[in-house]
Amino acid sequence: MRDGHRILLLGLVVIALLCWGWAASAFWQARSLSRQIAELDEQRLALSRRIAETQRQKERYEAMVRELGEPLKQFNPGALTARLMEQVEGALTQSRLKVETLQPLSWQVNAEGRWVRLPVQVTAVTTQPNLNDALQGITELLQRLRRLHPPLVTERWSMQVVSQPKPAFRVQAVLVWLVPVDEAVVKTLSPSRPLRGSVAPTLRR
Amino acid sequence: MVGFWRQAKTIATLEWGDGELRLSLPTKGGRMTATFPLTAPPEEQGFEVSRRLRELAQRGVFHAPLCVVLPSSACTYKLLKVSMGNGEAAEGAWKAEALNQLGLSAEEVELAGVEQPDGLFVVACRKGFLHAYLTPILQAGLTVRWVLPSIVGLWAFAAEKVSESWALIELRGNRDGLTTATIAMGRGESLRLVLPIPLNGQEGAEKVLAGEAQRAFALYHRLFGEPVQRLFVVGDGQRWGLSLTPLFQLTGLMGDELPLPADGITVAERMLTSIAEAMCRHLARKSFSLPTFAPLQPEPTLRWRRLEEQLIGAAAALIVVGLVAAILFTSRARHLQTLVSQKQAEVTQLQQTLTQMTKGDYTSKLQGMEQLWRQVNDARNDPLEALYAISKTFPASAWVTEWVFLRDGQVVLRGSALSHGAVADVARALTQATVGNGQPLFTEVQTNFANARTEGEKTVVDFQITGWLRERSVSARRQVWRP
Repeated sequence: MRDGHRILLLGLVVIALLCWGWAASAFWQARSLSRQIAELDEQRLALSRRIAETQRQKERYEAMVRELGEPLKQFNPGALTARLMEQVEGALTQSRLKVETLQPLSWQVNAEGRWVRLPVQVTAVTTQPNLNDALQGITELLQRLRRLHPPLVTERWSMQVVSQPKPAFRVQAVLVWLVPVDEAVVKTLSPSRPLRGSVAPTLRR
Repeated sequence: MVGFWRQAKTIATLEWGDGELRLSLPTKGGRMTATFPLTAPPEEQGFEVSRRLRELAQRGVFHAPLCVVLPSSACTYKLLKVSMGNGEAAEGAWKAEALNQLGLSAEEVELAGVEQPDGLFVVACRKGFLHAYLTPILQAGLTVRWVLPSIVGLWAFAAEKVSESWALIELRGNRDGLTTATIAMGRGESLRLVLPIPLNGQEGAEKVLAGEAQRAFALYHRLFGEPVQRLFVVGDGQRWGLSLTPLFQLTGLMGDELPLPADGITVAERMLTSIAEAMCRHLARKSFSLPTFAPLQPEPTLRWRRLEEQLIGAAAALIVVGLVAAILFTSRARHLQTLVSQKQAEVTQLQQTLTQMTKGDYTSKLQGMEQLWRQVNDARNDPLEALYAISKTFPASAWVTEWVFLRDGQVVLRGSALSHGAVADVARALTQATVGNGQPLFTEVQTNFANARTEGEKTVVDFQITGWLRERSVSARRQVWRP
């Protein structure tokens, strides 16, 4: 009987150890899973934030593109310069300014900002009958230039009153067309010609 | 004899036999006594006693030291003309003498002795009886402190009341009748002679008892040279139809019933209470002078079995708790595993979405675009804004003949004014000119020259003023544009 008790006790102790071993194993598994869940939650939160940030950047970028124009996938400086000169000349003519000189300058690439800088130097004289009208014409010219697309930046502007043959304003300006380009274009332009392009011929009238 | 160094104010007494279990227990207000009838057959009454005592012990009844009272008839009594002495050798000597005189072996009996003025009073009890009597009590988990015969306890209770030679007759019986009587005789507190008288419920017990008592008194007189002068009787004689008056007349002694304490319903219970009081009184003395048997210690096998039972119970409880915990944790782990899978899928999907979105490289694209945007939309880069702001603030006493807007934020105004004050007005007006959301147009305005010139009858002041749209550098300060 006593041996039976001892065998029973031994058996129960073994079963108890197995049960507690199982319980401990399950406990540690649950604990590690809880930690894993916490880490996954943190990852998910961080990813959600990054996605939201990227989405915001994308929307902002698209708004900028709508405003500044789609980056060019191919860069053709000759055609762009011709188009710039055409637009500037058109604006001057519309504002009743007589173009004396229209000279494209060397273009430059801003690799960091991913845009190309196409400057053009212009000299023109107002043709209005008096200075007041001439000033009005100059104002209109500046407004037209501001509305051009891609945007045109006036880097240098000089107005001087001239009296011969009649009172007028002579305007000298450097107008720069800032054209956004694709990264691939920047990469193709940068190694061979880091910043400056070839000087375009001067157009004199 | 057992040495007692601890004095107990209250003692619990217990006895069983003759179909009853009796208790006398100390309580806060006094004593509580109880009698439990034993209904099991005599050979199984030990189990019933054990069960009953275990129940009582679980209720916390036994908190006082326990004295177990043996039936007087179960023991043999002898007064030895030896001294008890001290030490193991002396103890062995008197025990050997006692066993020799009783004609019993040391394996058969347990001895208890106490030193008396006339010699050593020895009580012997068969070990088999002691074991059978005490085992149910030990099995109930109770700790026995003292074991003594009933007649010894009663003698100790009554001894203070008399100083001459006296006798005490203890009557015991069961449901069927008077079974035994025990006569104890001595002088004062000194117990000299104890004789059990078996009666077995026979008719005419008074006469038998009286006859045996007379013979015992005669024996006492012959042995100790003095007659018994007083007689006390204790026991529920009325229960068995025993009249004490004829007994006293037959013995020719001044007899009386022993006055017992009031704690107890039956005479047997009050006898237990009186033994407890006698024990307390003796414990309060400097030396304990009652013959008590050494209490049995629980058997090691019994202890081991108890331990085994407790361990089995604990192991079973551990199994149940462990099993419940394991099931709970496992189910929790499964639930968490499902959650982990879901969250991993979500994270993977989010990572794919992010990878697709970051393919566009919007961060660097946006930086370039914003740089371009700032350059295009900066009001200070716009000559129209500057022209408008200057025209708005320009005084009427001055006019501009030349206006230059340079790339580095330098604006040069050249013109004429009616006076030098007008030139100062122009400079002040340019300083206060604002653009956009009220910001100053120029960070700095400087008058380069203001020269008076007379043309015909009129005098005009030619001037040149330079303003900086942005903070200028040191080198830029020198770059004043001149035609």
